[in-house]
Amino acid sequence: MIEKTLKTTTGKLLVKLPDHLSEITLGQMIALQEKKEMTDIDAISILSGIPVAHLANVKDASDLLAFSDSILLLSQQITQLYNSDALPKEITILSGKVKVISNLSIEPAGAFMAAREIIAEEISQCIKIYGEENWQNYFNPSLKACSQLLAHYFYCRVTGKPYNDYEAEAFTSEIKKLRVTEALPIAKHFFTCYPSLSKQKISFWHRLQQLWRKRQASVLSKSLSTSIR
Amino acid sequence: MEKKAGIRSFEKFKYINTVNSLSAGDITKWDTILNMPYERILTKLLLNKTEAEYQRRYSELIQAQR
Repeated sequence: MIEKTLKTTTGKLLVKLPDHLSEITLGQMIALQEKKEMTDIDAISILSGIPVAHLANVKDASDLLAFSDSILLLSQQITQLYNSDALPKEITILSGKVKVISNLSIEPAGAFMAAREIIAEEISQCIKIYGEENWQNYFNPSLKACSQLLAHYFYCRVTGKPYNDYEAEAFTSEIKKLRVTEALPIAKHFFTCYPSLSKQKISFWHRLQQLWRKRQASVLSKSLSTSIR
Repeated sequence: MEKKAGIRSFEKFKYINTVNSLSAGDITKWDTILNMPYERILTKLLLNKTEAEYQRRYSELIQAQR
């Protein structure tokens, strides 16, 4: 974690930015993916958890430039994560550890059917855009769909409660707190290997890779002072 | 025929259609079905499909004999 105290128009502001992918949550990645026309300050806000309004009060905008190396490093790490199929053996969720690799089936039936619907919906959206013949070349499930799928996968085994579709959907809020390095490989597994879906080569992570490449280019080339104002 | 009658209007209910069908429309049984192992549900769905196909063929044979 990179920490820097910045002078603001109202005093001082401690900004902490992750310098390793394992410090980023799935929720943060979703926020990055869903943000349209993201500025530098938006990215720093999402990654640090500090509201944009507070960051806008930083006196010298070039102070924020110190975080560009961190963002560049993260973009490199995320590329490695996308290219990896390695699943975590276990994950920590709600202060407890849950084994993953030894149990990769989505149960019970309600969770299975809901997860299948989420995947089917993502495929359907992709077909609408790219057509029946080409959709597989462009299939990029959203991270929001990943979090919803994982909520159904984890709900019963984490809480120990019977399956409830409403509560499982609400469990997405806990899933968003997962480390992106743990959550994404599991979601990727289900999108590529799920029953009745043949294992296909999909550019699952390309959209985010592009996003991070854009960020990388943006951080290096743009003047922070101009993007803040 | 089913399309004309508006079967697509059920699509918005997604997998609840399956749950409703398996519970014979009894909402009090939905949670029980949702908490069953998926393999059991799949077996039942396959059984229903096999039964429907058998009934259709059987009806066709009976009609052909008349």
